[in-house]
Amino acid sequence: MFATGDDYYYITYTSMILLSVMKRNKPEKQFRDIRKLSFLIDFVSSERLVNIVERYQNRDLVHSEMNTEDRELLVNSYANGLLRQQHVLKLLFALDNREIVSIKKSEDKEVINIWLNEDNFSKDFLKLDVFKKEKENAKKITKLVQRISVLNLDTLLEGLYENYGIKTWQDYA
Amino acid sequence: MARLRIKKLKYSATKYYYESPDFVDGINILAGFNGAGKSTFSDLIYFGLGGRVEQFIPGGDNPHTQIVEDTNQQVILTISIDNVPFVLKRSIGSNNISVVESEGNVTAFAINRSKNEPRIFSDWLLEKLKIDVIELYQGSQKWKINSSDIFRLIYYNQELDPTKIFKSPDKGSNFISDSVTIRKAIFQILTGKTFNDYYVNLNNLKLAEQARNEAKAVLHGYEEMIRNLNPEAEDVNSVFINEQIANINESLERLNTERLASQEMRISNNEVEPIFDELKTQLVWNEEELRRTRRKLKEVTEELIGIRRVESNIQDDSSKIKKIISTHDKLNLFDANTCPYCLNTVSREEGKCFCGGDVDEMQYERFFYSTVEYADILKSKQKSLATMKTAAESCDAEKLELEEKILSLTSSSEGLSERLRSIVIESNEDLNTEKLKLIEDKIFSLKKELNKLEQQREIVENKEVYQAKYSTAKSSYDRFFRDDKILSATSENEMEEVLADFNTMYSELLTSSVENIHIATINHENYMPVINNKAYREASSSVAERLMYYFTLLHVSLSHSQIKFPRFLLIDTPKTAGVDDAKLKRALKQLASILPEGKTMEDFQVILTTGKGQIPDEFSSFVFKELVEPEHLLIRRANS
Repeated sequence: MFATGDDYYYITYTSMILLSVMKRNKPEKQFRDIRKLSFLIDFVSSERLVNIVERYQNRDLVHSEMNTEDRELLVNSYANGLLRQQHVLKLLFALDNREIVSIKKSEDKEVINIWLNEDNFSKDFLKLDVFKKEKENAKKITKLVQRISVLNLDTLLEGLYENYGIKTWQDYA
Repeated sequence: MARLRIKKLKYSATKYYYESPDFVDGINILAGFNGAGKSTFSDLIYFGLGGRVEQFIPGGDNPHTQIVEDTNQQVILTISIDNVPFVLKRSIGSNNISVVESEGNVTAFAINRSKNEPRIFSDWLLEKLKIDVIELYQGSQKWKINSSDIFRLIYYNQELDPTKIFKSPDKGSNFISDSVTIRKAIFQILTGKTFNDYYVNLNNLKLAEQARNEAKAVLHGYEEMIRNLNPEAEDVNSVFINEQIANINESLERLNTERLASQEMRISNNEVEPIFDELKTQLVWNEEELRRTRRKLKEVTEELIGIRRVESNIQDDSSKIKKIISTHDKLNLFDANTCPYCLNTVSREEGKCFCGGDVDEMQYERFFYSTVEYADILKSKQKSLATMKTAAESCDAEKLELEEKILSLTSSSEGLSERLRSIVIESNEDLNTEKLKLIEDKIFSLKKELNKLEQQREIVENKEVYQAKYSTAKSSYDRFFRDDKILSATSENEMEEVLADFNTMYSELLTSSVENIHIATINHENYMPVINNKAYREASSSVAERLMYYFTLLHVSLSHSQIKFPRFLLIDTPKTAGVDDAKLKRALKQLASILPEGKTMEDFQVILTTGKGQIPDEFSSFVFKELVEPEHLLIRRANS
């Protein structure tokens, strides 16, 4: 059965678009902690998810409850992010093998960084019209979450989930 | 079975004339030198019988000047058919021919068929010869058989190519005159016993088929129309509808009486309750229906939401697949040879896993697909999308219907409530009005029903008429079809007998007259000669082949009394170079051998022209005239 959510190509194009929009294309401009990508993938492809973050960001959540459907979507995206982790890592290592991206360990043992090697693939690819929505979403989420490329994982999860009342847990070994 | 005899030929014009002696039964021979006028003689007879002779046509290609440039030229042919005498008169250049009967009646006939001439000379002659004027269909063309068609096997004339056997058709008679079908039909008509009946029936069959198809088309067209415009009328019959109509008329009568009665009487108290009950029942039913409809509307709305959700999911999937296809197209990272574990390219054999173990190809989980496979997946998503769209549309339509129904039910509920309210508080007068109103409501709805039924009845009755017409046309066709099979089989059986006889005689005649022929038959399919089983031999025997063919026809007409060949031959023997006198004599001699048991020379007639040196000795007594130089056939009148 063809499941679009876990398709390697899907992960490939969303990650590449995100890295490109964030201009993480040199060793001097690395994207910190590849584990963040697994969560960000759904935000790149779903306008709705980005909207949720947009809408609730400045509201006082104690006094205004988040709508059930929105909350469900957000929780699901966290769960998907967790479940996808190994998959994404495997894919990114394979992309590194083909030199589409470069992966480098940081001083912190747990953290691996990544940047896009834009010279190693066709320039037209990221310019394709078909990715218009993805590029817009990536731009938006980058604006909504400050310094998204250098945040560490915990901070990101705080910004995307904890602030909206969704509990996260440390289980990404 | 009819017998044609020529008694006398007379040609009369201003400058020239000719009169033959009375011809006899058996063989009549005109002998003469080349150019004496032997062919003219035969052509005059053929002309007198309604045939077309190119040389007698003024302004034609190769005119016989003596005849054509003369004036007042008339050909008078005395004949008898089955012993009934007739005189045929025809002028050169005329397309009319007169038939004089023994009582003195004269009828003029046209030679050529045209819109103004329903019955022409050929029709008359064929009728007398007891040959039905049949129409043959070839594709979409049809043609009526002509006497000149029949004469192609009776008049042995000068032909450039004797292998064709048949005389060439008269120019312009039937434009498809010389097809194999026509020649076959001519042979069959002359030698088959029931072939006439067969062709008559075939004609009827074709007409019946046309009639049946038309009736069917009309019926089906009408049924289609009913299906589209008035589907309720599709399956009912007129008896049933008439019953319903009668019932309604009865009820209407009853109601009308009631109405009249109500208009007179004052309403009493114990009539209030039934009226009240009636209205209440209607209201209750209405409310119930309203509740039901609202429930249904809710269901349909929920269904619609569900469909929309699935639609949007498929839409998302489709757009994702498009992006995956673009990515695969540009980056070409993974394909069917990519190991899903390490994402490296490795070649995998069919029926084997990446690890080398055996797998069932059908059950093997796929992680990567080819561009074509992605495209297929996309296509199937789009098909599902289309299905969803259709489902959504029909839900929408249903929703609309239900909403309308709710509106109408709500308003009628309100109306009924109003009426109930007024009954309770109003006077006697109004009660009466209310009662009348109820009756009138009933009458109105029954009249609507009646109208609808009457329309249906008309439609159904029409349909039944068309059905009956179709049934009749079909059974008529079936009858002709069955007869066609029977006649065809019967004819073929009878043909077998005649053909066997033909083959035997033909073979005998040819082997007797041509040295190197051992066996001769005719082909069952096209009745053309098959000599020596088609082994090669010289062409010089083609004259004999043709001549014996005619002789054999004469023979079978004598052996089989029911066949139509009129026991007559008109022969103008060839005088072209290359026809050996001795050979021709030998061929002509065979005429003596054709008599079947019990028949004599009295039973047929042959009129023959030939050169002096070609007459078999046994036939010398049959010569009625010998033209010796300088005597020609046509005699110049003394005064001209």
